[in-house]
Amino acid sequence: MKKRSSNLRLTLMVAAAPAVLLLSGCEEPPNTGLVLQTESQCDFQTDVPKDECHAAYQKALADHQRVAPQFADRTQCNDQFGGCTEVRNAQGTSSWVPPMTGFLLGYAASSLVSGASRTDCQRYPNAQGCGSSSGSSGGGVYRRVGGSSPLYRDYRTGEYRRPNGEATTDRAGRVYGDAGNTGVPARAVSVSRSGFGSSSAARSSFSSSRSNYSSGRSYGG
Amino acid sequence: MIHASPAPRHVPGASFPLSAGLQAVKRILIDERPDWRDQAEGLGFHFHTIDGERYWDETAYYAFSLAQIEQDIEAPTEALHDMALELVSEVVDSEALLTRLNIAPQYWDWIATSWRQRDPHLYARMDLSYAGTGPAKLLELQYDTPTSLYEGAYFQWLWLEDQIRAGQLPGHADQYNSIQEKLLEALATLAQHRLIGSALHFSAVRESEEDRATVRYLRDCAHQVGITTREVVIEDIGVSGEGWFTDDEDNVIQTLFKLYPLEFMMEERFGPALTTRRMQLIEPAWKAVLSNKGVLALLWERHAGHPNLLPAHFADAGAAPAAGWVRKPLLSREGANIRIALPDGTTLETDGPYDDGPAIMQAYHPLPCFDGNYPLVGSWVIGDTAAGVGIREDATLITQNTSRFVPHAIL
Repeated sequence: MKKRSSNLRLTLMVAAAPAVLLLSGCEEPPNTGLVLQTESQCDFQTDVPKDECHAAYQKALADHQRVAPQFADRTQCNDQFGGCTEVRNAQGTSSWVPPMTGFLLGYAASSLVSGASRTDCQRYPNAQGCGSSSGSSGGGVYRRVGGSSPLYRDYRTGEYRRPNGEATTDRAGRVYGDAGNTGVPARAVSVSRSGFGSSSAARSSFSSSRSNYSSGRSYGG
Repeated sequence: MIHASPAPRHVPGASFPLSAGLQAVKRILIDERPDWRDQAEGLGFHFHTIDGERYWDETAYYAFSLAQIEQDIEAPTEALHDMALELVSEVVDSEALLTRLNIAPQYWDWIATSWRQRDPHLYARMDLSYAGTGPAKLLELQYDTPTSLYEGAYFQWLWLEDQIRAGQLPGHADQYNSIQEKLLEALATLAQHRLIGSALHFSAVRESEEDRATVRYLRDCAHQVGITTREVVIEDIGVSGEGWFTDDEDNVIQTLFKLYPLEFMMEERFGPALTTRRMQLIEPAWKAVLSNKGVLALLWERHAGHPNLLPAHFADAGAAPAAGWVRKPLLSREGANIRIALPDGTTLETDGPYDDGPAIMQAYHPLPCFDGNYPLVGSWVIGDTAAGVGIREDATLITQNTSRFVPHAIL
């Protein structure tokens, strides 16, 4: 048994060589989340462990109390969502909020590299991580819940909307791509930079004092 | 698995295998490949020569036997790694130990949470003194920002393949090196189990050519297994009003591979924002425990007499080493601020920027000497598996950033 690898290569580091990424085009992309209408549906889905699903529902419900869209006008709320209820703030001002008619389970680190392990499990049920020990009746491995969000079904369009009004999907079930995002935005406006790196500048006297080295060589070890 | 349980493979009281036959490692001169400089340039290895001095040095190689590699380096590396992880488990639950390691209290919860949630880690290196005439001795752990990765994992491998092909080395020659293969596996596992963000940012400081090449290499590895990668310079990282970390194009950084010391980050302006855990770090926060030389003293306290450990204990800031001891600051890199008191009483010292904190004393164990060269064996752990070695030799007893990387073979 050799102690070294038999074949290695580089891609990005090779001068002027095209980096080819092979992804098969016919595979279904991995879903990034799941929209459920009621907590009881947790017991019938197979994407995530049931207890994580129930916990995610509870979190969405708690968030709903805080961040549900508020309407000053009852009719406007009912026209869009139906079944709106009145809430009063500390000053006694009343507003109207829609019922939470669904919730989104977002999977951790939503988008992914190579083929989804669920697909592989259906094809190769004996593959590592696919067995009955994974506990999923679908024969796949579980996703990890990355976050959850309350959803509000818009009667005018049939879409499930997030608290900020953003539409996710028009039917319950698996969602793909950005629709599964519950937490991390893709972009954010930076208000400050250069908050890291000052130690390297402060310690540069070390490397510059060495006659052999014109500049700092490494902060590794 | 990326992060095994820290159950020790070393059982106290168990007997240790004897060193493999007490046959010395050899340093053998060999012809350089005529085109290696062009090859290096074409493969992104621009720091093969630094300020006119050789860094990559293939005028010689170190020859090991298979038994030396497997019994004296590979197995002890995994045993030491297990002991190190076991120690992290203990330290994060102990305010007394966190205090002894001089870790700032405002980061204790952050570090402990990182460990309890099993934040994944990628790689580590341990530096061993080994000549084949006795057990390898652990000099230091480099668990946060280990370098010399590219040259050990890839360029060294290429050297062996070329030299066999050229007839300079026999066909049965081998090398202890599956570092890159295991890096690819570890990165693919992180991605498949959704343990990292959908894009992985790679970062080093702007001015360090060597560090930037190292992260470019790791980025190459991530790319090979299909991970979306981006590069951001440490100094360009920003934060948004909501507390997200961003790159220079305002993309939110979900996961940051940083070749930059955790202890620097904790001291700096954005440090407190790390504790929100909105950005995942690789290496993760719990590595701050193991990048601290104090662990060498803690390991000795727990495993005194272990054949791969040197006696070590904590020392006050500024204390001078007694004859036969070496003083190392708790936090230092690249062999800086080391003070050796040789058994005859003379002292060797390196200067540096890390003299502002407490230190440890470690029993003096000279590196072996081959024709005036002192080799240090860097033994890599990828995920939780021993994966290979890279040897750097220096003309002095203290391996610094003046060292040369010399390849090795198993014969």
